[in-house]
Amino acid sequence: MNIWILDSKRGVTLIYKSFLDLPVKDDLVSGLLTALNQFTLTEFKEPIDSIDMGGFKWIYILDVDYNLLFVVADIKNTESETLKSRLEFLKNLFIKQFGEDLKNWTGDIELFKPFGDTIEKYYAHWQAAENVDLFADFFDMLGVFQQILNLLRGVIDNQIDFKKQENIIKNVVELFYNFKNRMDIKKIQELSKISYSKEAGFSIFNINPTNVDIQVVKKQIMYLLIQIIKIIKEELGHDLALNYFSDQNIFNYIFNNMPLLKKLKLEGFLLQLFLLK
Amino acid sequence: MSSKRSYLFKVLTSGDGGVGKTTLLHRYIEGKFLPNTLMTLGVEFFTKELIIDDFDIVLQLWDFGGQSQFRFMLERYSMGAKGALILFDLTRYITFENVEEWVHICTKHNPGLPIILVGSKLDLAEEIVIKDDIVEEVKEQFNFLDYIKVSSKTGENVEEIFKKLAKIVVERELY
Repeated sequence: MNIWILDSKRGVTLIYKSFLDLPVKDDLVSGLLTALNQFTLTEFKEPIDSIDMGGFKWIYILDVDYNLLFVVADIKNTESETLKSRLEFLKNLFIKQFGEDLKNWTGDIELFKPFGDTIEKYYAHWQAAENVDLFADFFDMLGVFQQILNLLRGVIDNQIDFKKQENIIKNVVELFYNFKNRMDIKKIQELSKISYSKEAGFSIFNINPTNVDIQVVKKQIMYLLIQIIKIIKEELGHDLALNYFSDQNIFNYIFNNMPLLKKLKLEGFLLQLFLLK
Repeated sequence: MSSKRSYLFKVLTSGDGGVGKTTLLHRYIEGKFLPNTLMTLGVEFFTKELIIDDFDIVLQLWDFGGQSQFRFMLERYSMGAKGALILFDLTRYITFENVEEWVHICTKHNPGLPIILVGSKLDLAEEIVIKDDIVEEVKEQFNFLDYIKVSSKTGENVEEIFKKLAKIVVERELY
């Protein structure tokens, strides 16, 4: 992430803080950023919001009251919303700290130098928090899968005639037994915490994401879910199974939690899993 | 655990930096008072198992970083929550003033989320500046389930907060 705070009228760089290597000189970039902003203001009557350029994503915030242009550049796969929020945070902080000075500013950029340390401090915090996203999604994913498994347990326990219920339980127990005895699964201790029994139902929530490859866990839970649904549909038939899923509010759960499922990119998987033959 | 069903509920722990969220969670989970926890970077996670009405409950406790530089990250993390605690420090008025902001963060994706308002550092009796009557007004305004004062140092009311919230979540989600 690289950050510029510029005088939007004069094109002067008040602060530049670089955490990434740019293939061009900093002063050239500052001139280009201000010129681009001036161009869009003149031609399109509104400032630039964001652009992709030179393999980077560039986010702009123009503050017309103080004639300041705040720009952040980062690699393209960083989320725009995240960059914008960080820039907004720094903008507010900068104006709070230097707002009065800017009113009578004579052009001495030394005044703003301490803000470079401020940017560094917060950048370090954001860097440290970056892995948190991964864990947060993992915990949310566990919550979703556990809830789906609980609802499936409801399908098995509550609504099926005894013979079919026994067959399903037998097959699910066998599925979990075989799963746990697979060589690749045995090598990953956290996956042994995934369990099913007739009495206690499904349990996946004790998995510790710091001890395991999150993608591997996700893949294995999805595999188990696919197999459980297959067992249920084979025993009940597709249409009847759909009725039972509906009676247990599985579709309600999916629709009520759609924003979360979209965030986790699970909505397509779950809808296909339950709806398709 | 041997009772009949297991459920996992996501619970948010929020409030300004330094109000004692992480300290409260350590007290609840480990029974220890840690007076000097490090700043929470973004969010941290804890889990606690308990039994309520014959249900095995796992509380997945999301400890939100209270510092302003993390705030923009938190609305997204609040998705899917079933309950929340909003803490303020009974000895620092500014932390009480910011309760409204935390309500918005916690409820943006979860309208109607059950929330308990928690006044922390009850053991610092001499320094308490926030009186019950003004907290009651805020409790009414935001329709909080309850207002409870705690001390992570002495352990007073710590278990009660989580039990109460968990019970309410169970009633809402499972009955």
